[in-house]
Amino acid sequence: MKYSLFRFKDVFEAIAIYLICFASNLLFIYVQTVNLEVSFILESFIESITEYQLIITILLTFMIIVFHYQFLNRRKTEISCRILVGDTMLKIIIRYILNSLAVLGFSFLLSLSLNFYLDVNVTSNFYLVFIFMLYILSSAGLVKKE
Amino acid sequence: MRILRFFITRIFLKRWILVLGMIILLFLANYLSFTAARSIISTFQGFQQIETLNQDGTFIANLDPDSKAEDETVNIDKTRKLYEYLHNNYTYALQADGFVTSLDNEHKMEVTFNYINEEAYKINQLRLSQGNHLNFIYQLNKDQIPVLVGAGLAKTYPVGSTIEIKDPVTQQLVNLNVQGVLKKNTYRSNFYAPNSKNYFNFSIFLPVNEEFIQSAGLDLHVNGLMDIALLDSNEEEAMNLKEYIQENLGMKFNFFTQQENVDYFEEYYIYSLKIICTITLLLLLIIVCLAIWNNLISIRLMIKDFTINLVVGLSYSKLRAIFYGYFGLLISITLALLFALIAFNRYGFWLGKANLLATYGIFGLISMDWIALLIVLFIDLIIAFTIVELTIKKIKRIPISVGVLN
Repeated sequence: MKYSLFRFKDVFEAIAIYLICFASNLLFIYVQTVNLEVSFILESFIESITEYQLIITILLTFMIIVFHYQFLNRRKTEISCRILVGDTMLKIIIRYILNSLAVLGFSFLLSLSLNFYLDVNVTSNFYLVFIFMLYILSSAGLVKKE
Repeated sequence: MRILRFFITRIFLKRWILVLGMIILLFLANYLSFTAARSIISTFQGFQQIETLNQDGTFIANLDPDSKAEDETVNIDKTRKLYEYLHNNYTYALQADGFVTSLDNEHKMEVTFNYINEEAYKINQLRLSQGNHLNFIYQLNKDQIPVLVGAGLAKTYPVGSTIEIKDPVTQQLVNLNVQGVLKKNTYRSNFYAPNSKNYFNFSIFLPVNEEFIQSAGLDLHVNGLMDIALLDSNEEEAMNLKEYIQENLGMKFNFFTQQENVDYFEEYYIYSLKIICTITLLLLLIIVCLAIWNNLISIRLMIKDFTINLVVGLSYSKLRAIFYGYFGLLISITLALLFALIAFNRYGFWLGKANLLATYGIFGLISMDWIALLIVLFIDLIIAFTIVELTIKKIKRIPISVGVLN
């Protein structure tokens, strides 16, 4: 991540949010496969949450939009400085996209361990990866200088 | 108020993505707490209802999970004989719900017939909004049968009116006389799932006596047997009945004593409620952490605006009040969204003509929804307090000079 806009703290925050989204999606899928018939109370409680699985997961992914928004707002001064010392906006945007995708890829690989642990299909989080990629590409438009 | 409006429109809404993020997180926290609170309240209500059966001398029948009802061994003659045996030797409470039939009514809902004997009626203590209680002395083919109707049928079938209909269990044309109207949202909790309820707004309670039971079909006989409760009985009598049913119908029933039932339910409820509370607390914790993170990054971006206002005379206590006002607004929005979602769900039962789930209430919400909403409000206040105090602490730790530099 040479010349990256990301610091360790940012990478850590992004990974944490990605993992929360991936894990919640996997847990939703997992609880639906668990036999909860021993406790109807528990079963109906879980059902009333899993009923809105897709909406809840999509709403949680909004946190990644928040992350990119605040991240790029805080990096405006740094971007201006980089341009002053010879960097170009295009290179900064490409680096930002590649770095963001790397963080996403790393988080997805980490989440695979939960896939294997819960014995949930590895493709379950693919749609989220696609949504996150869209967010990253859209947020590239926010890479601006001060 | 003016300063609050200024902060909201000029500072917070300038970065509306962060505000929207906070609304989403608060809404998720609210929905989760609401679902958990309503599950707990509903379970508690069901437990209270079931507790009326947990008395000395009461044995509740429960079909053994390994028992298979073999069609060839169960026939109407055998079940009639069984009910005759029950009538002669036991005091028992019988209630069989959910026999669906079509009956004209203003809401075009299907109507369910609930059959109840005198003992079960005494235990249930159904409350009426109009009319009188049921009497069980009538002759099936000669007299009109007194019935109670649910609140949803009261306009079409007021007290005193008669209903001529083919009874679903006797398959005979019967004349029903509306004796009383049940209070709105009268319900019965499922015996083994106390958080699940059937509402009787579109039901007709029909009293059954020995003559009626003998004329009824196999459906009522077998369904009635599933939850039958022996009253003023003892273990030996319950065992005798168990053996009688097994010999004659080939079905294995268990009859649990009061102590066994109490132990089972307490263990079952407490185990389930503990897990629900743990899941809710864990998820709430994650959501609150995300909300705190969301608010702290808002501070990072808005510190310039806060500092300018602090420099020109805004005190920290006033800033705290502004944050409480801001969170009050966010909580109001999320509660309104939650309220709309619940009302829509309740209205959905009417649209879907789900006659056992359609309920009456202020804006469509029933009492347990309102109690759960109050609990959500309380949890929201705790969340708001935590976030605002942490935010103020964070702002105080940022030197004014850094803010001015920004």
